[in-house]
Amino acid sequence: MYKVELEKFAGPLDLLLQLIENEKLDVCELSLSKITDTYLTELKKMDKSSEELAEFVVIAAKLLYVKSKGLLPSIETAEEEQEIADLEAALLEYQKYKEAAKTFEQILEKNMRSYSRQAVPEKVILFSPPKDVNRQKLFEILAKLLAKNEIKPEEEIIKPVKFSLEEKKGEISRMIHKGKVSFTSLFKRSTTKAEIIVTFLAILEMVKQKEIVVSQNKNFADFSLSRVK
Amino acid sequence: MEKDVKKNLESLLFVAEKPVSVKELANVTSFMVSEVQTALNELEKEYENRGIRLIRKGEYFSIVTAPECGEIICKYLNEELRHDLSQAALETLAVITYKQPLTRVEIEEIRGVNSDQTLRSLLVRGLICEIGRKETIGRPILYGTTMEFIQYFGLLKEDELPRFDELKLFREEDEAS
Repeated sequence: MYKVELEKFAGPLDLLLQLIENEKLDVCELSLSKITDTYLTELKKMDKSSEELAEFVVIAAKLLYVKSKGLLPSIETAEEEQEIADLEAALLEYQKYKEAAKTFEQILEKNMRSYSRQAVPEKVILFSPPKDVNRQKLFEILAKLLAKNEIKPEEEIIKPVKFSLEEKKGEISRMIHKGKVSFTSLFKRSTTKAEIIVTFLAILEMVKQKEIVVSQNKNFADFSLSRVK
Repeated sequence: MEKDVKKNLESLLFVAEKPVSVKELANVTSFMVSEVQTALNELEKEYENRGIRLIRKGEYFSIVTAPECGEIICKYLNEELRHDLSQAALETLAVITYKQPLTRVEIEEIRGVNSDQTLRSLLVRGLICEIGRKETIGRPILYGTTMEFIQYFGLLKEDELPRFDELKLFREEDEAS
């Protein structure tokens, strides 16, 4: 057997096709059985991830069947017969797309390309407040926001963590035990950004664990949290 | 007064930052779709020997530079004209071109190999895009080629590519010439 030099192949079908073409054969059952050994040699040489290799092994199994059939014609079954026919059909179809890829390459080698405009004038994104907004309204909104967020600035000194996710979950469980609790009320006692974050994570975690349900009556309304019954 | 359909469309397409559909062109200009179509056909002919061309992808139109001037533009933009698509990328692109719209699984069935990575790189380069979802279990993404694909290949429209059953013929002709 002589050694075959292969181009880099882009998958098991590609390898198979290259082997067949190297032998100047057409795609048919006989040629599949002829190139089985070379295919297996290539397979052994491969340095690929198991996932990629699996694709090659599937084809190898089919080839071995084709070859064994040549030796023992009696092992033929309808199902396996169909598999060979499918492999042949797949190869023939793949061959056409390889042909197409070659044509594409040829077109690209002509170095013809067209360009669209480069510098696109960027659309300026403007902030457009609702029409009925006036100074008084903006002031009220700001006051409301400030009143809501009584968050003290975090101190520079790194303090030991005073709350854990588990603790927060326990806290929420206790609060919720009596009945519904509003989402915003859970953050009232939070003093730092970190605590707010942990409280929020605890809520998410409890929703995921199906311990609590969160509901909202209308758009932009406060959420209410309650126990899962 | 005579309507200046062509003039208006030309200026609109000149300034448009992305391909514009016939419908959109008709909407903006308040011309009839049929008038727009006729004018676009005329523009296309007029551009034949010009430095700009009218290209189309389905219902969408765009004004671009003439493919044969690619080299000059590349020099100006400091870009490389030589294509750098891998064998896998070319193959995948070929499958998508002739079978679109189709899903990743359908592409992989033809190529017999995982095509995730290749698809992602073609998507990033804008040569293909998501063109819908297949109405089947999991609603998988359907892929198709883009206007940029047409530009990348220096075509004016997609059907300038050889038909799938004439591929080999096309190449042999080309090699002979």
